[in-house]
Amino acid sequence: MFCNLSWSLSPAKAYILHGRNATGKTSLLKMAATLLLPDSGEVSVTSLSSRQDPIGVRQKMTYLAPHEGTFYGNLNGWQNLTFFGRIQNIPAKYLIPAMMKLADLFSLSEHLKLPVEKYSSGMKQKLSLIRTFALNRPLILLDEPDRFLDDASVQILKNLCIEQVQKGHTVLLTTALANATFEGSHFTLLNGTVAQGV
Amino acid sequence: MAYAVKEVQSFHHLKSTFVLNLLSIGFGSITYYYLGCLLNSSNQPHLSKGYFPYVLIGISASTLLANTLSGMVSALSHEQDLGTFEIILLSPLPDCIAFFGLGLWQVFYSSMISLGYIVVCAVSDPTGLSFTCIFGTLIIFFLGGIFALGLGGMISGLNLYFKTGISIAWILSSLFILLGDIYFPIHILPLWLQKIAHFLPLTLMVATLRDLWLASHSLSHISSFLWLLSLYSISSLILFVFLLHWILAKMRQKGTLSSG
Repeated sequence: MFCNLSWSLSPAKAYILHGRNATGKTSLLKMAATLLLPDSGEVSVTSLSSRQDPIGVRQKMTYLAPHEGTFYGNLNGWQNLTFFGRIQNIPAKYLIPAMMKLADLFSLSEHLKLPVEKYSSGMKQKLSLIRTFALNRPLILLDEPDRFLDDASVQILKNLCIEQVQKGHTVLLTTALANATFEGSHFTLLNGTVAQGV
Repeated sequence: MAYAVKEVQSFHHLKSTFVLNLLSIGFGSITYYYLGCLLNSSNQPHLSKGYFPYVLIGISASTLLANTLSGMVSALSHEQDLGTFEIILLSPLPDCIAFFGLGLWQVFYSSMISLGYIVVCAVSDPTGLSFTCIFGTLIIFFLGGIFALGLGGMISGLNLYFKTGISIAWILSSLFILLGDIYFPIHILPLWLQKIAHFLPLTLMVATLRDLWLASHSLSHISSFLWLLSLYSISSLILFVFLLHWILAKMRQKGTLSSG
């Protein structure tokens, strides 16, 4: 899928990766997230190799999956968030306030007691974003984060990305839309290589 | 701990399933009570108290193994279909811990169902009840649970990769019924099958439980069986960790961690 791909990301910057469907955007993010192993070559996060030290890499990053159904439908939103937060080994005293703040931001607080099976696609996407941003990790991988979101929520997402960059974190997000208006350096994935620009 | 809380929260929605499981223990027990009325004439040592307690103990041990295996295979397959499996593997913990977390509930739930048969056995003949019986049973269930967790983890892992785990679980369950000393003594089997049966951890579990409940043996008398069962349990865990490492590496290479 990729040939001679070499790409280095800097701290405190946002990268927007464009590309048509099936060009490998999700695969690239999954490689960075240790969910996919490259046939050859190396993916490193803050000098940690995803092949040699995958657990170390996972401690440095957070990942938003591209599909909406990554929750337990029979549990409510809050139960899902606390479960996925707990398995990240983050103390509740840091995690819960961060999740509550993000839920308020996305106007999801009052729906957190509903079973996730009753959520709309947009609500599930917001829940995924809360799960992702609450971890406060230096590398944030977002696979098509604006899917299913309304304009107001997209603006909140953009502000969150800016906030993360200001904290010194790296944001890498993908989009299939050429007219996506996220702030940052824009790149395009085509024929297995990454080139600057849209 | 997070896995336990998640399962308890999910279980809140599945209380009716638990009630149905309890009912199935009741119906199953009654069936074997009447079957026992027909078969109480044997002079085998473990059958001296009749067929009913004999078969209940066999069913109890086989339920622990069979339910854990099929439960783990189904649960992990469901996680893969939901996409939550990938998210769980993003946690900064070794992969085998995530599998243990997901499988522990199945072991616990299966143990509760299995203990139900032991309770029926104790109620049907309270004279055999003693501290040794209860303590020994808990040790056997603990060791058997660890063995089931390791074996269930291996089969679940194979199911995630090859998609054949549920068939393996069914085959093993059938094998347990045939060779596990559950419904009939293994001495009626051909000699070569008896030799295989004696090596099965389930046969060991059943024999040890029957020694406690039906022959009133002491813990020191069954200690060699417990050591052997410990060996099986530790071996299954070690094999599980190695197999899982290999399977997940393959799945990461192929990009098949998620079904979506």
